[in-house]
Amino acid sequence: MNPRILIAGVGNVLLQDDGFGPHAIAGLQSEYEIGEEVELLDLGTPGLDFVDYLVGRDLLIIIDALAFGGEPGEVLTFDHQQLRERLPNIRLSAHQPCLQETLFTAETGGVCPKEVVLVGVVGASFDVSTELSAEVAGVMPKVLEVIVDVVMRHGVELRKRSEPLPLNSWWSAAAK
Amino acid sequence: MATRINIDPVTRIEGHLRVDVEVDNGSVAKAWASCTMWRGIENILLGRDPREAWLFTQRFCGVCTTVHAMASVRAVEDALRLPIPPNAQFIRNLILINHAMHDHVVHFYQLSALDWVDILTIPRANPKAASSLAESLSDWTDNSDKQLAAAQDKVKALAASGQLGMFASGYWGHPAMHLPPEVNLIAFSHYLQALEYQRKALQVVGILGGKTPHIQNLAVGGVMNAINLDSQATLNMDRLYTIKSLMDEVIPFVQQVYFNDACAIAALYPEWMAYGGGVHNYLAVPDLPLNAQASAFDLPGGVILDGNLSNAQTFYSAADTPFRHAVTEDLTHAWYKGNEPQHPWQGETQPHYTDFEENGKYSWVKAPRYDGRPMQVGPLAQVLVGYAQGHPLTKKWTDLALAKISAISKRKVTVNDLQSTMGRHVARAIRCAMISELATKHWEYLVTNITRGDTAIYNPPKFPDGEVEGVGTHEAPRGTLSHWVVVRNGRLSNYQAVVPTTWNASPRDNRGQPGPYEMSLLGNPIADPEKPLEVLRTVHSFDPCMACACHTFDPSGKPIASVKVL
Repeated sequence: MNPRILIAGVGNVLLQDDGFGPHAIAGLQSEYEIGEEVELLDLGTPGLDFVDYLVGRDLLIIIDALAFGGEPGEVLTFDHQQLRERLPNIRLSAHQPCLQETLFTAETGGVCPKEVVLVGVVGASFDVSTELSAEVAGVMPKVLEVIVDVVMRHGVELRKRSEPLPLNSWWSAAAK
Repeated sequence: MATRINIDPVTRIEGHLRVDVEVDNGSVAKAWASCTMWRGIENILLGRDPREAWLFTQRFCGVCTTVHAMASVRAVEDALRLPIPPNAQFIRNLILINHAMHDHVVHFYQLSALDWVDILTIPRANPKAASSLAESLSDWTDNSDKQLAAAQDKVKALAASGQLGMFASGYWGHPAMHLPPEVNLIAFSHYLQALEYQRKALQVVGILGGKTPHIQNLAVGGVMNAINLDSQATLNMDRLYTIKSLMDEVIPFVQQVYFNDACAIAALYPEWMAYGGGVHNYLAVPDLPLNAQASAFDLPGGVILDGNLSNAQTFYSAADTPFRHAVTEDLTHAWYKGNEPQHPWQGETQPHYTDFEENGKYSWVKAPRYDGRPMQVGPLAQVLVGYAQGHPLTKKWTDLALAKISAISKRKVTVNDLQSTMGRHVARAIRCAMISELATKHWEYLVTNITRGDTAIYNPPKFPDGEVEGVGTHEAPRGTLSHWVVVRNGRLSNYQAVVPTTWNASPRDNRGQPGPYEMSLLGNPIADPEKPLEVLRTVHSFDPCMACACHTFDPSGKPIASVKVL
């Protein structure tokens, strides 16, 4: 059985702020005690295989970089209804994984989590680099708190570690 | 009067595949394929330890993680002439086999079936008639009228709720969609079932790889799966049997459902075996090595030129001498500095963006060439190369597919008909069925070797002073993948990945030769320029994997096709 809460970081760690999701997963792993009811996954840049990870979840929290919407570093959240209202475009390649399409496929297949929240951060730069921009790195603590709050609303407390574990964001020089 | 159609899914900041076609008299007269994202990620590897390159390369692409990891360790092993233990070969092979089954099933049902299957006709289908049709085509036990009626109810409910979601963006009712409602219903029912089986294949990758989508068990020199049949913490009999039972569920789905559906859809769209051939030069490398030295393989490789199957060249090793010398990348029409074709070991990736200039530079994809020729890669190349060589497993499944298609369509379909848009879908199903048969075989190789007492998994690499070059290949689901490395004093001094989509989506070269996408679109009919379904069908048949990179949510939802009268 999969843990009922999935926190999935998505994005490419080789493209600077695009990798915010995996960076945030490493941050949560380092700073919080994660109980049995919660699973953290760095999913990289999944295509429709994202659906394969959704079975048996009550709550899905997606952490992603945003390519729109405001000033770099701005944190925005979307619920499932808001995501659903955006029509996906027609795909040419496997690499337009359209989150909406993943969720729709999951719904059609009867494996969609009951609740879906996307926590996004507007990126500043998406160049080839393994390090976050200062604007985006700066909001990491705030984003982790937003996520912890969402999990708390589902009756699960993520307790802060007294001593953080070493960051396992192996790709990043800054984390070492 | 000519019409220009530009299909540019500008949904993400890094851009993607853009296709421009000029339509004259209802068919495509000119075509350009362009990648609108810079792929300079290889530069991030320069100066790094070659032993950790695979961790980075599996981040090139979110769908093809495993294949880039595998090509990377193989490249460094090739540079060091380092054999790996047989257990490591078989464990890697089982990962590749299950990854490939997953990938092909996802491509067919999730990414391309809806180009052919008109969802909106499903409410009109007769589930009983659909069930007897499905049962006449396959031994699969999950085609009952009850199951098909349940699938039909899903579509009805979606239509009634007004929440057609992703289906709302399909080209439904398009004149080029003409499957009977019952066939559409069968395909949709299998689309739902596919979700379950693709997950099982991924579970096998996860058990052996430690994690998905980014496997953790590789090392230059072998794998890190400690083997001890008596220990709970290692690869033991328990885990091996879990893998076996998962594969035992996936294999029948591939052979009885996917394979048959691809044949049936091909038979019912016979016109699509006449278009979309494009470049008739084919390239595939051998894969699934059978020993430590990788001197024998279960999947064949070679080259076919000008569609001439009677004169195919065979490759005898994973990166055979002709392959090492023949590959170059041309930059004439790509947004990089330089024009002269470069061998990947000397390759440079220095951006030089101009704007889309149809007679100048117009793509971020380089133009790989084999002895100066554009080559088509992918399952069609894999199948044709094997068929031309009389490879028994290839012949078995290809002949079976041709017989099935011929029987349903009541006309003789030959291996040459596979050189088409629909042929690429059929070839993918043939390849997947072949691989599914090898799944059990490689599991048995591994178990036999372990029970014989061999638990070796790793040969430590030693880096010499000075410079060594290597190439690692993998015949990936989308085609020939090669990573080219130069290691100087134990550090990477060059790294070039020549990926399948680079071969297929290649722009024109210094001699003006278009790439496979561009050639395959010529002559495709276009019934309605506002809804260029035919272009999508041909491009999707290659299973494009374009951006190899980015995933940034952009909910702007712009339309993708723009049409302008010239």
